[in-house]
Amino acid sequence: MVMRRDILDVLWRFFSSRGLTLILLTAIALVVSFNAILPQMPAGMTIGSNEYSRWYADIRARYLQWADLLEDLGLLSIYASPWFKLPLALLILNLTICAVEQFEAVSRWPNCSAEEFDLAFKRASDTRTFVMSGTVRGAMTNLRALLERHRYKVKVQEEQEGSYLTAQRFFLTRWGALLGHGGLIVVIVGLLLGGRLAWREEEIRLGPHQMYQIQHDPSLSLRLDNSQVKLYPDGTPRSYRAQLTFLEDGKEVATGMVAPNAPFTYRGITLYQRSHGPVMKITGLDTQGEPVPLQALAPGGTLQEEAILQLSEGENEGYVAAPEQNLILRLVFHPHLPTETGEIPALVVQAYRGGVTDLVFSETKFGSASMHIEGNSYALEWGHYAVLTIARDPSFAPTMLGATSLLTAAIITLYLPPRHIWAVVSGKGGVVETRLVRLGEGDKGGGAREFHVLMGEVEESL
Amino acid sequence: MPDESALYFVANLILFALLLLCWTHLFRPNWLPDRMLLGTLLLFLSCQGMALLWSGLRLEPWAFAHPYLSTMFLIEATLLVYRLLERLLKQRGVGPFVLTLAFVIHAYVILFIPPPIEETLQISPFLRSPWHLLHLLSAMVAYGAYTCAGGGAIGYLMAGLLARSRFAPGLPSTQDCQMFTRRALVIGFPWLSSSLVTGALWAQLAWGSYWSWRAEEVWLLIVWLVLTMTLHARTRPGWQSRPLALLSLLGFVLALLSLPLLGQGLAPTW
Repeated sequence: MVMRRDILDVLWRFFSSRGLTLILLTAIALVVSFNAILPQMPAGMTIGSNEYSRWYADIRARYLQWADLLEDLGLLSIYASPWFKLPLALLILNLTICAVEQFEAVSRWPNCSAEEFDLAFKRASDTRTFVMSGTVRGAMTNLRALLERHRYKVKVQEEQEGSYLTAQRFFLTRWGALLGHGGLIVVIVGLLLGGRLAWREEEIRLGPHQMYQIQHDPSLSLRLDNSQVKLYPDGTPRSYRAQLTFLEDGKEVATGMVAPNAPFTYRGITLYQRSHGPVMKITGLDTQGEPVPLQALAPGGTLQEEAILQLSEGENEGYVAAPEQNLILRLVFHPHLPTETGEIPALVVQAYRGGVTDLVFSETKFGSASMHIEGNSYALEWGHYAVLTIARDPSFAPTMLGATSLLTAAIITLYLPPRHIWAVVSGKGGVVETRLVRLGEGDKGGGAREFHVLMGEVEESL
Repeated sequence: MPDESALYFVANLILFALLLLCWTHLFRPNWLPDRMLLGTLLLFLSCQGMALLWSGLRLEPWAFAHPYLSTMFLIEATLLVYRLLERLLKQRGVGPFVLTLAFVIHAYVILFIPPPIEETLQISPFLRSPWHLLHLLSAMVAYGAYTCAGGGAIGYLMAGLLARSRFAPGLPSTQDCQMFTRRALVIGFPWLSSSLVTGALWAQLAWGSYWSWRAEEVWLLIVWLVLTMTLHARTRPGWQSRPLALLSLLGFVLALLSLPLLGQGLAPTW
């Protein structure tokens, strides 16, 4: 039984030690720095997927025979590996045990015994001794009044050897370290749980009036009402925003705007605008004024009276077929086409006869325009699609609360550290000796300056 | 509208003059009156401050994400923290080391980083956020404090080497350097923590993910971990002298390495 208690004591001391904190912080810093050195598996990628195979082929090309070793050691997905999770779990344990010890320390008033006082008096850099005639009670009353005037909380204990005084200022900031450690625990737990509780649907491209059903909440769907873009003189986007409507079982329930840094939240689900791009609507009329059936040569493209193409800087080329006219339209988006007035976004439209590579039409368009190809007229309408992210993350609020607690604790403990003064007043034969000591670091900070001012006043009052 | 590059250049000359004065003070402490050093320091702070204000008004406050402006802000913050510590601790022996670091960074920016030009400056819509600005500027203040700590650490190592030198009577004691370094780290910690918190808030508003292990976040976290480690180590016996100086130097070097990442992503894309 005794042995078991000893083992528990050893474990408690081990996990409450500041040395362990230092080792764990070093280990976490080293593990995190792998992220800065080695490429990491992108979030959301699953092992065995085609995406993963492509990514891993790149890694093998770069690291040759070392790639497999790095993968086996878990260094290519460091945040999912035990190298990261183990020190983090140990740090939580370490912080929790430290917090328990701190709670014990801050929740009781520190009494000073004769031995503790003598030890502190020997070690401290700021000490003073006053000897004068009078009574112990009178000297203690004066000292207490003076310290209380300086906003110290004072407690006096009467002992055989004399009266012992313990005084503290900024008493509440003693809770700062506890608040900081608690905050850090909440942040780490929030980060670890965030991955399990949160969900997100990314890269949702919505053109005007297009709908999207939210996969994590099938009763809700989303419609893009319109998308606006402001451009710099050279055509690069300065700002963009989109108006969206949430529909619940087909009924409109909320409408709002999203823009970069300005998300829109409904029922805990938040919409973010990640990006945007040009969307081209093409319609055609033949010589009789009848609509020309068109088909976008893209996934999901069907023969309709209009064809819609979503382009971007990366995927800047699209094709539309007009089967009845045996015509293929090629549209190439140039975000920065050099012109006489500078670089502006433009669209190069080319038409080919089916099965033949000879061009039958080629023009550059700088906005919505119409064109005539072999007697038929085609209208080109520019719009913008929005690239959205839909996310729900219940860990955000608690993590931010933890981070704010940590920040507050850092400010109060570092800028307003608690100040402690101990004093012992003893007397014999009408001679009173008062010894004072300032606890804490022997620096030239505010505590030391205040102690010297106080000692001047003590000298006067005594 | 004329730009403020000339003012930054003048500030660089003043900083160089201040550096020479400080080194002179180190070798011949009685040659120069203290008011001369203080006056030159205040002149630099005013000149650099005016240039920064001008940049902010001429361009937009979001333009501080440009590496040129963010580093210029870092130098202003470094010298403000240095002045605060000089006043608090009443000793300027560490000055030459801090000012040398500040001058090298300032001169590097003037020589190698082109200043932002109003006509061609394009700021990504995601950077037009007060949270991003707070994140960036508080990181710069923290890095300014770290530059002071780095200077203090170099001062500590130099003071250890030249303890009995007759040539540098103005050299501070190792205790003074140690105190300067510790105070600088204490000033930097809340700012760096605040930078992490505001950065997370910005990322949440911009992308819906407050932490996504981007290079910028990871580097800032590494610097924060090293700073936290240093602050914990300073209270342990055996860690208060040379190890503290070496840890402070390591943190300063990491902060410098992470600096280019903080000013990334100005240009918008389609």
